[in-house]
Amino acid sequence: MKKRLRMLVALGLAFSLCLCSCGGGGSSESGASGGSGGTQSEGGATSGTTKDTLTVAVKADPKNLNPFESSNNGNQVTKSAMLEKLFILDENNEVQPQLAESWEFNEDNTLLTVKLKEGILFHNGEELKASDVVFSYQMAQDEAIINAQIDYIDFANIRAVDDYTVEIPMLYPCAMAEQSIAGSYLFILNEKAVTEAGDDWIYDTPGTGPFRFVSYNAATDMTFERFEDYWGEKPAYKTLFIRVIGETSQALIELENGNVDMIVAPTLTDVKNITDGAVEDAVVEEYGAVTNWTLNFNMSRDGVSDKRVRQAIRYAMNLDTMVQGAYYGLGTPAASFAPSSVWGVNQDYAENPVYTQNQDKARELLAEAGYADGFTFNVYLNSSFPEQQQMLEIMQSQLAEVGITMQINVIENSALKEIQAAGVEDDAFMYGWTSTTGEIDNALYNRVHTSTAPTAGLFGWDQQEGSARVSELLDAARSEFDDEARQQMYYEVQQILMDEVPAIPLSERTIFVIQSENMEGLRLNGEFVWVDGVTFK
Amino acid sequence: MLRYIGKRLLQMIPVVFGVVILVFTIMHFTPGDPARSILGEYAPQEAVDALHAEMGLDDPFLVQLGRYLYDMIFHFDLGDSYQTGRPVSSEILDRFPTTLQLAGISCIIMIVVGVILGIISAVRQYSLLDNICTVGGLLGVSTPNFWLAMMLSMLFALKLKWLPATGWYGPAYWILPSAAVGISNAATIMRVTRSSMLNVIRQDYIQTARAKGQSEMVVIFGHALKNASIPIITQVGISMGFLLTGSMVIEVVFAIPGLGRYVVEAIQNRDYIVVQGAVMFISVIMSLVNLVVDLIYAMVDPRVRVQYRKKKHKREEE
Repeated sequence: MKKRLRMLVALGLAFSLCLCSCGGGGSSESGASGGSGGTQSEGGATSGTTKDTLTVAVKADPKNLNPFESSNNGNQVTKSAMLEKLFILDENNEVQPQLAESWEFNEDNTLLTVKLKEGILFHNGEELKASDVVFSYQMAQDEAIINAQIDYIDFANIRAVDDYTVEIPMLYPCAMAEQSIAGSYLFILNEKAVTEAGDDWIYDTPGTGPFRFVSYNAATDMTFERFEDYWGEKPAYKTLFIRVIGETSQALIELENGNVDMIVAPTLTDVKNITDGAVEDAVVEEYGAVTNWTLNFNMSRDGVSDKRVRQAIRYAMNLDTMVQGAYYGLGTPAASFAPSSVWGVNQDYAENPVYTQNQDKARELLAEAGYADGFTFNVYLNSSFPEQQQMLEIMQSQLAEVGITMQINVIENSALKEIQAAGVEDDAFMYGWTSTTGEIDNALYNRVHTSTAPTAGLFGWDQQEGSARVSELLDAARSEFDDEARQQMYYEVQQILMDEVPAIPLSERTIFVIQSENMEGLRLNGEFVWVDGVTFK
Repeated sequence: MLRYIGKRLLQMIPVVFGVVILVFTIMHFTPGDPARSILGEYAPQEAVDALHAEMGLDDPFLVQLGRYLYDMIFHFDLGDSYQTGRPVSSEILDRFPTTLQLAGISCIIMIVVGVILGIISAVRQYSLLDNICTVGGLLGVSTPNFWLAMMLSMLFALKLKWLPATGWYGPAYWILPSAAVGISNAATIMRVTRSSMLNVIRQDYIQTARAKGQSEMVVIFGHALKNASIPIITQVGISMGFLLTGSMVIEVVFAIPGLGRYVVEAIQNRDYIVVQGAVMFISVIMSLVNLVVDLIYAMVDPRVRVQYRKKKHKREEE
């Protein structure tokens, strides 16, 4: 028996040794690689006075470096760190050159000619050429998100005129082409590197950005180092270390301990804690919004197909109470269908809203629509956003006061997308109307143009009175090069949408970043986070 | 014994197949479209339809199931993740060592703390120490491990600044998650050990051992614990099975790239193929843990060994 016991103990010890040697081998290396910045400790924390590593906590694993896929908060940072576009939107949604030296449209706005900056190197040492732009744009054209947002570029006929000049033909003259390209995912990749890497290109994507990729450990971290041959102003620190920490409260502890410098997309509860001063050495930076949360109606369903019912729902709501209650005082009620910082939004709505709570009017409209005894409808929403649920719960009680019963169904995102796409179960669903291009077309076209509304879940919109006019105006605006005239068209669209209520804008999705008090220079335009300009005080 | 192991390994096959078919069926009929999940909200229906065709999602359920089983059996292929495009088997094998490590360290904490406190509690029954251990055990069993994890982080990472709150980069990072998992499970082991030891130390042979003048240590560890160990091993086996298949909540809280977190993320992303592969892997691990537990029974308990031998002799006589 003693022999067997000894054997058991020996087995146990061997197992322990095995655990110490085999487990997390990759992660240990990643910690070391993350610490390549000299003074960094195992987890990427930096000590001492000379900080040469920026550690960013993100909630979602970036998964890969494919620039043409939609962003989660992980690759919002990685894309802008290592990749660049011809031109970009700055923090004020203004178009600024990046890889382009200059650009111009021909007289009838059907051809965009872009002159590239010379001498720009990719991370693999290759020089940026016009052929790389042609290659990247043609590669991007099959991606769903590019397809859906940019339908005016004739991708097949883009051509390199010489090494530094590229011609981008348009399928039709598009007034917001520059803005739209700048706000899209049309990043420029190196043709040679992507071709040679085959299917693995998404894990090692040489760009021209200020950081080059070093390593990736799934669900753990991603490490980048400063690209010493970067054409622009080089970052002040050497290593960018992205850590995937799903629990923001844990990330906050790391930030307090100096192991993390900033947290992208924290929860509102954590933001509130910081603004209340509960966490030392941390500040909240607010960077405006690119998305408005909206309640969207499936107008092919009984009840909500009637405009008067939708208006009654809107009149029954007190938006300020809903938003302030759900967002701990940190929310901004949505005045229109895109955030107020977006060009084309009618700013008058913020001061003179079309709707204010009017329960009598709501009851009257319901009675006119034949629902004097009450009305019931369902709403589906994504379980990832608890503040949306809280907002709807407050709304639920407000609607109940006028006899409207709202059933709230909280489901996870992919199931929501499926229900939304099918359009047979839902009367309404919560979703974001986003403009990444800084102008309102991007938020509206894919939602309320009759050609795309069903894809967005707005079934039955084409049967509503104002839908044809909205589509006509959206098409006309795209070809209108006079900004004033174009803006008036968007104002008219918003007025029709306010009247027809295919959706109810609820709140602006403000972007927050929690960062250490001793850093500055972070830039965001909602869609991307630029960390290359960060310096430590 | 080898014959027994072989038989048990063969018995695992229908179990694993049953689990695979069940999970495949459940995931197939659960709402959520992987193609739409991959392509995103802007994808036109034509793109979604094309991806359906490419991924074989348009085929009838039985065709999809048959294809999956065929690839699994004949090519050892669990498919490629819808989200990352990488082979599921290699992603599982990338994550498993971390989970194995967490489970192993937690298991050591669980056994050392649980068994020692259980023995003390049983030997000093109704003493102050026993009462403290009993109340502590009850609290440990009732406390959700994510809450314990948060509290440990607050104390050791935030207040005392002794340990990091997240990550899995080295020994300092292993302590908090392993303690959170180990302490929660130690409470159960402590309660089982106490009750099992109480049954044994009242037996006549324990009195006989003491009467023979053997030291208390020998009596407790050499005689009592040995005979009380079967229920403890059973409980350790159950706990170890769960630990090896991923402490999902703990892995999420401490940002550990283990199997549990992998499964949670796959479920959130409707990555059927990953969920199926991971569940199949988990069922194999659970079956293997059960087998190992049965073998340990035989190592520590002569009565179990005798059972195996009896069967062998019987076969030889026949």
